[in-house]
Amino acid sequence: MIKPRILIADDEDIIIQLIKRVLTDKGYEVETAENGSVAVEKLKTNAFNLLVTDLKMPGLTGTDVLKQIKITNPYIEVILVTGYPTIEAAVEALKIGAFDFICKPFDINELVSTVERCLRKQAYAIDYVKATELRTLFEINRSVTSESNLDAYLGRILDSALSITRAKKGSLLMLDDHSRQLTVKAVRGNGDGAASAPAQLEVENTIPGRVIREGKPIVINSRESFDELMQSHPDMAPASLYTPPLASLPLRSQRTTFGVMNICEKESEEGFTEREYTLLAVLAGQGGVAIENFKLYNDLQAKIEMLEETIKKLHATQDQLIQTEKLASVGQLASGIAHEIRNPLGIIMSGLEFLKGTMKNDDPMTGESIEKMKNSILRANNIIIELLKFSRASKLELKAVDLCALIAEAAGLLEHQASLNAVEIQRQFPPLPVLIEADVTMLRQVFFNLFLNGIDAMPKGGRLSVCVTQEQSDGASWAGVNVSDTGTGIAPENLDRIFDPFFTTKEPGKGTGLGLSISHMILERHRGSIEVKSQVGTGTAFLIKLPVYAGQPAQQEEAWQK
Amino acid sequence: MAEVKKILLIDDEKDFCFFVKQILERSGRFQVSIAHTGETGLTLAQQNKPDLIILDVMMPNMSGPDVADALLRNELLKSVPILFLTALVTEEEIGSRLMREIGGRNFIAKPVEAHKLISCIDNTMRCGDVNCGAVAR
Repeated sequence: MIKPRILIADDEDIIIQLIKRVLTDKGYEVETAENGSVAVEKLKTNAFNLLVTDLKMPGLTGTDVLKQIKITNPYIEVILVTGYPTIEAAVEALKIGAFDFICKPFDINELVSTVERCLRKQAYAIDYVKATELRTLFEINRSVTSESNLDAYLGRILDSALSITRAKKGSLLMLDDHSRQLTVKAVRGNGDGAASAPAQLEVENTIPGRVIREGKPIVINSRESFDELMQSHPDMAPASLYTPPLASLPLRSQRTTFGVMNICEKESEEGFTEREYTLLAVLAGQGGVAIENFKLYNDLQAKIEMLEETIKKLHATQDQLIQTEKLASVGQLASGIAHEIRNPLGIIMSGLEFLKGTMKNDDPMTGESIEKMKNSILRANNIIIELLKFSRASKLELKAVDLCALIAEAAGLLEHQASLNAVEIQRQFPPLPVLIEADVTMLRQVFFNLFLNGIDAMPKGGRLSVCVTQEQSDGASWAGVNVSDTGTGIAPENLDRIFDPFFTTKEPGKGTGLGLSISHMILERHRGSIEVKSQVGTGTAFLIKLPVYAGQPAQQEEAWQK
Repeated sequence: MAEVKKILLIDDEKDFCFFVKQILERSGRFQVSIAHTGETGLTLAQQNKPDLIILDVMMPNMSGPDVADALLRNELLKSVPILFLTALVTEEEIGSRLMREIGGRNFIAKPVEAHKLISCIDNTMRCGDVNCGAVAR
C-alpha cells in the first residue's frame, strides 16, 4: 500500500517538526516547506494527497497557496492552521476549497483525526472518480461490438473523453485512405461563437496530421508550449481551433492509424494529468478498435455480398447446365429414334398414297380421310424434324453480321402475318450496325420463333417491340435484344418451364413445344443467353444477350455433341 | 407417249418399297425393280442398267454412300443418276451437310408424298449428276 503523502507548510520550524514527527509516526510520508513559495514549488513538482498549511506566512499566505494549487491540482486536500482564528477567514478558506480549519494551539490528537478524516474523504472521492471513469470505459468497451453506427459510437467516445478530463472542446477525425484527408466525424464545443471546425483537414501541416503521420500523440499542457509550437511551425494550421491544454491522440490499431482524437481547453487552466492522459489513451485505443471493427465488418459485408452474388451466378449457371443437359439428352434421343419413326411414317405415307390411287369411286369422304391421315403423318414428322435440329452435330457457320439487319429480316418475314393479326411490329435499332458473329440461318430462326410466339400471344392484336442495344458489362461488349409483346403473358408457374423441350401452351398441333428450347440452345451455342419476364395480362419480354464481334477470329466452337 | 423409265429402288424397308413400286408404276411412267440390300442392288443394276437409282442412305452392311461409291467406280453405271432417300436428316441438312459429304446429288426425306417423290425423280433425271438444287420440301 502506498503511503499518503502530506506536505506541511509553516514558517515556525518547531511546529513543522512536531507535526512531521506525529504524522510520520502514524505512517504517512511527510515533507515540509518553510513558506508559501516553497510549498507551491514542491506541490508543482511532486504529488501530494494533503497540504497542511499555516494561514499566516510571510510572502504567500496559506490562502494564496490554496488558490494556486487548486488550479493545477484539483484533487489535493488542504487543511488550514492558524493562530488568529476569525469566522470570516474560516468561511473564506472553506469557500475556496479547504477541507477544514484548525486553530492554534491545537490538540495533536485533533490534528491527527482531522488528517485521517480528510484522507478518508479524499480516498472516497478518488474512488468515486475512478469508479466513474471505469464505468465510462466499461460502457464504451461494452458497446464497441454492438454499435453498428460508427459515427454515433465515435461521438460517445468523444463525450466520454471530455467528461473524464473535464475539457470543453474536442473533435474526432477519421483518415480517408484514398484522399489522405481527415474528415470530422464528431465535434464538440466548437459550435456557436467559436471558430467552427472545417469538415475536412489536410494531413499536411496540421496538428492532427502530424499525429497521423507519426502515429504518436501530441500533448501540450501550457499556453507557452502551444505558442512555441505554433511559432516554430507557422504553417501548422489552424491555430484558432485549439486552446491549450491540448491532447491529440492517434486512433489506431496495431498496424494502422485510422484517425485522431483532439481534446482541448479544460475547465481549469491545469494541464492533463498522467491519469487523464492514460484514460484518453485507452479511449483513443477503443476508438481505433471501433474503426477497425467497423472497417472489418464492412469488408466482411462486402465479401458476403460478393459471395451471395457468386452463389446466385452459380445457381444460374447450374440451371443453365441442367437446361442444356435436358436439351442435349432430348437431342440424342431424337437422333436415335428419328430413323425408327420416320421409316414407318414413310411406309404409312406411301401406303396411303397407294390406297388413294386404288380407290375406284371418287367418294369425297374417302379422299378427305386420306388427306387427314397424311396431315397427321406430316405433323408427326414435323416433331421429328424439330427434334433432329437438337442433334445436329454440324458446326455453326459463323460469320460477322449486323444483328439489326438479321432481326429486321426475320421481322420482315412475319410482317404479313402480323398485320393479319392486327399486330404492329415496332423496331428500335441503334444508328450503327451491331456486329456479332453468328450462324445466320440458326439465329434468324431464333428471332423468327420469338416473333411468332409474340404474335400468337396477341390474338386480339397488339404491339410487338424489338429493341437492340449495345452495352458494356464485365469488361465485355454485349448486344442486347429486347423482344416484348403486349399479349396474354405467361403464368408464373409456367415461366420456369418455357425453355423445356415439349412444353407448350398452344393447342395440339399448333406448336411442337420445341421452338423456345431450340432458340435457347442456338443462343447458347452463340455464347449468348436468353431470359424471360412476363406478367399475365400485360405481356412478355425476352431479353437476349449476345457477345459483340470484336474483330478477332472466333474461338473454335467445341463439338456440341459428343 | 413418253418412254417408260427403269428405276431401281434400293431400301431395306420392304413395305416401303412395295408401296413406292405400286405408286410409281401406276403412273405408267416408271418400271420399278427392288433390292433390299446394297449388294443385291449393285447386282441388279449390273444386270439391267436403270435410268435412275433411288438409294436409301442408312442400310445394314453396305450403306447408301457405299453403294454410290461402287456405282461411281463402275464404268457402266457411273452415269446413272442417284436420288438419295433418308429417314434421318432434316430437309435443311439435305441442302447442306450430306451434299457436301457424299457429293452433289439429290436427296429426299421420308416420309414423302407421291407428287413430291415424282417431281424429285423428274428433277434428278433431268439434271443427272449435277446438283440442280431442287430439293423436295
